Amino acid sequence: MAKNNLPNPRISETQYDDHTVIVPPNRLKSFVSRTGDSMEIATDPIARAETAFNQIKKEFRGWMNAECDALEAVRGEIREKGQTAALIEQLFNSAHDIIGHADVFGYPLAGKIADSLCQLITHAPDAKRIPMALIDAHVDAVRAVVREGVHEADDRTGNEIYRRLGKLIRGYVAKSSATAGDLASLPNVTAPKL
Amino acid sequence: MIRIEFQRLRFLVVDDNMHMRRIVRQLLHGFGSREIYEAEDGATGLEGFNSHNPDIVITDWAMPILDGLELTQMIRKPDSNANPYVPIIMLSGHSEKSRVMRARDAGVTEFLTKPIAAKALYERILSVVLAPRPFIKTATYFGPDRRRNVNTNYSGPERRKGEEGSETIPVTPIDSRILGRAQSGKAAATAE
Repeated sequence: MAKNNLPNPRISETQYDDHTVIVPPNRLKSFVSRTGDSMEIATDPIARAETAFNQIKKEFRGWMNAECDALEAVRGEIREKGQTAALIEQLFNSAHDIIGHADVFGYPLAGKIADSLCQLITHAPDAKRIPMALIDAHVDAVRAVVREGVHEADDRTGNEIYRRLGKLIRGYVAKSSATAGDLASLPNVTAPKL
Repeated sequence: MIRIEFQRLRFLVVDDNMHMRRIVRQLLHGFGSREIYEAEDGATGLEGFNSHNPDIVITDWAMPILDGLELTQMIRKPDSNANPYVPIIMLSGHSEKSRVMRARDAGVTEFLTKPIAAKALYERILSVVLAPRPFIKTATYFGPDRRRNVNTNYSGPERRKGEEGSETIPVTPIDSRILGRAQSGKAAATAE
């Protein structure tokens, strides 16, 4: 185990009937420095981190393509082997990765469409018999957003595709036990056309 | 001016996505950190935790082998030889309340929803350094006190008197969220 350069902790414990309150010393306090009388917190590290973050932005397109590759690879396996529980879970996880990363990488619509795919899997009446066309439509739409370099969350075409996917999902799960509330985060299909 | 000496803090970043690890590392470098260890799954993360003894752990939730919740539960062993009190910041694409509650009940110190941003990460680090919460041990839980706020309308018995020994650092917050956290500590020690 690596040697820690912090002092040995002194722990105070107070026993109660059904629990113990433990107050370990704040060992990280030794990493806080103070200059002058001000108790303001330095914010310049945020600006420096944002600058550092901007330096790697040029790599995001490649990273997003890698995410699309992973999603398409699972789709390919599903086509080949059928909709097994394990593969559908992999598809969900790949789509979920995109939800978490798309905004950071500058493709917010890809994240929304990936979220739509996750909702499709979650609310499908039978998760092993999801219409392949619906899966394809989502996977292809995510790729298209990245290929076309759609970075704006309010892109008209992208949002129209997203809305149509939502409408397709609503139609598909209409016979399932999903309630309207379960699908509340999907796009409103009655929204006025752009 | 209060400043965290990031160059002395040791971080462990656990995420199965190499791009996310790169982003977190880049942000931590921007803050000034130099000692950053990485692991690509929970099991490797646990190994890294035991061998590197990090000051702060930043972990993803969904990972192969051991996920972020299981990693947290493995770290939060009261009799562990490693540091069971280490602050754990969980990164997750899931923002549902039930998920946050599960993370809290596993012993996570702070929860950070993706997409990650420099300010949000900085705030979570400030929170664990400047305003740590006492730990609670029950038959079924060991982790940071899950009560973040003092309920002024509460009229029952006071069961958290041990908080008086906590060592929070009073600061002028950078925003209201930090203000809420920093003020929740009853007793305070100055940062020297």
